Amino acid sequence: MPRSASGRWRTVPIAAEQCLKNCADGRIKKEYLLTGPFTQKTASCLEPFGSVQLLTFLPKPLFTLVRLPKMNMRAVIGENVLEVWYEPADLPTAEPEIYRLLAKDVGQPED
Amino acid sequence: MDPPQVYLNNAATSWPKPPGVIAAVNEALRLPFSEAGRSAGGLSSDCVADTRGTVARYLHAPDPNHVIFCANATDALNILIQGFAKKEGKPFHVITTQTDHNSVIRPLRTLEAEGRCRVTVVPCTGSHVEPAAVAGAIRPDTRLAVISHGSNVLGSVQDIAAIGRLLQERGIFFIADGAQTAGLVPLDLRNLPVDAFVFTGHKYLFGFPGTGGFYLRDPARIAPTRQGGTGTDSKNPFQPGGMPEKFEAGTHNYPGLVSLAAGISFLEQTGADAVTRCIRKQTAIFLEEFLATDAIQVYNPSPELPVISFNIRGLGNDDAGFVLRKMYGIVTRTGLHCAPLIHERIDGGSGCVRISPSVLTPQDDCRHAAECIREVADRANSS
Repeated sequence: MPRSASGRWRTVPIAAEQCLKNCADGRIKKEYLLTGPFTQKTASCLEPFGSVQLLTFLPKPLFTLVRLPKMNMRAVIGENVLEVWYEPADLPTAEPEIYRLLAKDVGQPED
Repeated sequence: MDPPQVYLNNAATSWPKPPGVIAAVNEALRLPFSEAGRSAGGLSSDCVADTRGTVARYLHAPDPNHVIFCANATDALNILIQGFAKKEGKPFHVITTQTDHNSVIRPLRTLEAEGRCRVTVVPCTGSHVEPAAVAGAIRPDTRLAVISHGSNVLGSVQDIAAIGRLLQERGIFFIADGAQTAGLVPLDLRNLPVDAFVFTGHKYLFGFPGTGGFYLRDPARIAPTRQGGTGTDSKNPFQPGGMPEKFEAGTHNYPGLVSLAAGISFLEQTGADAVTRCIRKQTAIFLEEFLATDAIQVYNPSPELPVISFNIRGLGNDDAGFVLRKMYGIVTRTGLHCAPLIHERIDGGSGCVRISPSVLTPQDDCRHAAECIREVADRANSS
């Protein structure tokens, strides 16, 4: 869990994270176990981060986000897993940003 | 973790394993392992020798002692490629193909970067590598060809008999990578014109991960790249030159080798014809659904192996794999499948979804999965 600018541990709705191997184009795939279900509100919290789509034609709605050039993420609405694919160079800055935006979902202050 | 509803990633690692494989390993673990040369215990069973004999029998390898065990096909390819270059001693030209895996590409490109070889990649026509294209790539300094027998992306099987004959006529050492074909395609190494044939245990031979190896016809063509204990000739400060010790250093993966022998026994009991009939039926089930819609782009509509690669129009392969896993319990593999060169040709390098059942995947599961994938594709293209 990242520290806030003040050095305190920040509470975010991520219970655990796991870096997964993949056989793609060198991107890093991470899966985040959220403390609660990923909702449409969660999706709206992430809107500043990239281009969001809600695929409602599937049996359950699927949230997807694309951030050019190559980063993307996805989650099934109502489930508590968020999958994110990072460009390795973006990971150090993008991941704290995701934590920060998700903190809004549970009403945590953004530092 | 709950088992997946439908596991379609056997081209990576087969699951489930036959009950006889699990039972054989359980039984073997109840007793101390014995290997000649490494134990003063009774040798009523030597799992290394027994498995070597089983692999040789299954592949019709003329000499069991020329069957070498190592960790997997990648390990085998590294031993052979590095060992060939070491023995050769001077830079040479090597041929590989567009369908080959990073287990071939990376060792070759690494040698090339070190100035030890020059690599030509032969493109494929459709899903196959034409023997004439291989012949056309041969140069006066060509000494080695490393070619995938079965494509892990397209499910195509290359005519390694024809390719091997033309390489043999020119004295070019030929390594065939059988990671995807061993267990699916009947093989007879007595007659197949290959100098080395690579296999892995954890795919269609139904052994555990950590097992694999190669058959090497003439050990004099490859220098050993590893040294260590062999359980033989212990006063000799150098690696013994006899087979199989020349290429095997250190204690083997005993439980893994027991699983490999049991996996092969399962295949022998099932019979090659039954395996062939089963995989043809399985691929037909998927292709019947996939080819009936424009929403699915199939990259090889007539695979010889139970490997079908596709993309759903309007849905990235990352998203498609995620949806199939999370919403339908179907395990596929997405991305580049460690074979980037073929993806450059078929999907512009962006990757695809791959499904790969095994003979132990029930046909009802194949039908259910095919319908689910079709449903996702149709939904994605009707909105």
